[in-house]
Amino acid sequence: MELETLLERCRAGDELAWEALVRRFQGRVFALAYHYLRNREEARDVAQETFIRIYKSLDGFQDSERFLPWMVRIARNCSIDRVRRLKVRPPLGGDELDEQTIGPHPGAGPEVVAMAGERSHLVYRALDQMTEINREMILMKEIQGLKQREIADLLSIPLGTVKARSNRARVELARCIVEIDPSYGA
Amino acid sequence: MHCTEFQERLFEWLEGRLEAAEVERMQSHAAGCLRCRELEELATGDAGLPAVEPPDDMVASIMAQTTGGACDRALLLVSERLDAGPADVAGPADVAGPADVAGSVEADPLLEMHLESCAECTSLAGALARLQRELPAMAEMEPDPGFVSDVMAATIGAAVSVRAAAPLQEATPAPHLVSRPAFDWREWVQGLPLAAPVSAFFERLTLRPRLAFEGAVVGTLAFVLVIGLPSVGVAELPSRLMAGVRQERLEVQSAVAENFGRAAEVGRAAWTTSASRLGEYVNISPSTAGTRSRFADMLGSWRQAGVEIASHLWEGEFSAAFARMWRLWTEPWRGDSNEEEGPGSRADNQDGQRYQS
Ligand SMILES: [Zn+2]
Ligand SMILES: [Zn+2]
Repeated sequence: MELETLLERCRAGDELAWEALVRRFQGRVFALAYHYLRNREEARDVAQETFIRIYKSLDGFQDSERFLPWMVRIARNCSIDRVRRLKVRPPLGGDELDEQTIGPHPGAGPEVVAMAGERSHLVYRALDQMTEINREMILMKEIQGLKQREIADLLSIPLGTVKARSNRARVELARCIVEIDPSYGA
Repeated sequence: MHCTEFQERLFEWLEGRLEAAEVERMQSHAAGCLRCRELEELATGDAGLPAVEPPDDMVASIMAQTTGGACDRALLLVSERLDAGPADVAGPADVAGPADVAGSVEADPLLEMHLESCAECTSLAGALARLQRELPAMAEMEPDPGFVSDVMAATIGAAVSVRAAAPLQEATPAPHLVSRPAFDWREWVQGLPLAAPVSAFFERLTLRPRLAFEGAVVGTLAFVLVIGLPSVGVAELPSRLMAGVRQERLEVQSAVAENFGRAAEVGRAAWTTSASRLGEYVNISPSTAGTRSRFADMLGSWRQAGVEIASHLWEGEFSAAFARMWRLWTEPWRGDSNEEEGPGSRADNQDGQRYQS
């Protein structure tokens, strides 16, 4: 179903439409939250919070074209709020990084990295080495596929900066990833 | 053939561009002319002298001392080219091959030259192309299967159901809880005789997770007050929970989890004490059997409400807990709905009878 129709039915209070919307975008929202939090539990919580906020503001939202960037913005805000709170007050238990989801320890050798299977672990590890702004450039442009204009709005930076930075960010990521696994680009 | 002519045509000869007849003339001249033969040997490398090749790192070292290296520029161009070309610009081999460069960005022969000689950039170009293919796949990541229904429960509340609250129900089985129809809090809020802003506030309250937690803690306090009225020492529990309210959610969560079992336990003990005191009072009062049973009913319904509220809180169903508390507070004395007469008025009547007798 078209997103526009779906949103219209959501606004009309159709629970089925809302469920379908959640189902359609849960993967994206969860991936966004996970990108910032790197912990499945926290990411799930933040994803749920994001959908609750979306639900609350759905009435005032008209333009289906802008739904995706709008959703990304809410997910980003919720995630950053949570990251800040966790930094100020780290969780009680041994709830540090989600080793299982993240893959091998940063100190692990290339063999271990290769055995970890999923390439995204490697990408996450490389992302960890990047500057924050470049990491967000990668997330928003390369991973989420937002337009440069949308990224400029989202991150509150000039469009020209987005254009210049997007290539730099890619190159930085390529450098980081080849440093971890020299065979990546071969 | 003169030496001048030999020297002019030497390179053409070595490159195999001379006719057979001319090659013969060149050979016969070289055979008879030492100087020209030496020249030929030098040019072909047969002279036994080492070939003079520039050292491998010479270009790099010149670049380092002049512009500071062309790699940055090369990689930016490679990255820009990824945007311009379709997805099939991939892999170092493709990147290096000018024929594969598609899109509006023209193949830059200088870039190709750099990539041919710079292994690092070739590897990075390969990584860039591969990232271009792999990153979009990270846009989505499935949460657990229960996620959607949790979101539904937290928003439209459709999935609000009473699940078993094991520790509480074990002590006080309440089978009616299981069969109770799902509570629609939205309907309930709309049905309240409240002004729109108040109802909107309530809606916000129940939808904001943080506030919901604060509400849960306040609800727990209310529960303790309702259940554990006057006696047993629950004094330190509210203050501990209130301290939790001011802290972050995670801590509140653990505070609630940590204290709740205790709260229920203390509440139940308090209840038993209170109930028996009330029972004593009823027994020593010059009352009718009706009053006694009224009291017993009231105590029973309070106790039941407490258990329901507790299990709602325990399950995180804050709106349902609020609703139950609200019902308890607004209609505390009303018994079963099939009674024609309000139990409160009946109790009054009985009290009246008591005083008359
Ligand atoms: Zn000669
Ligand atoms: Zn290079």
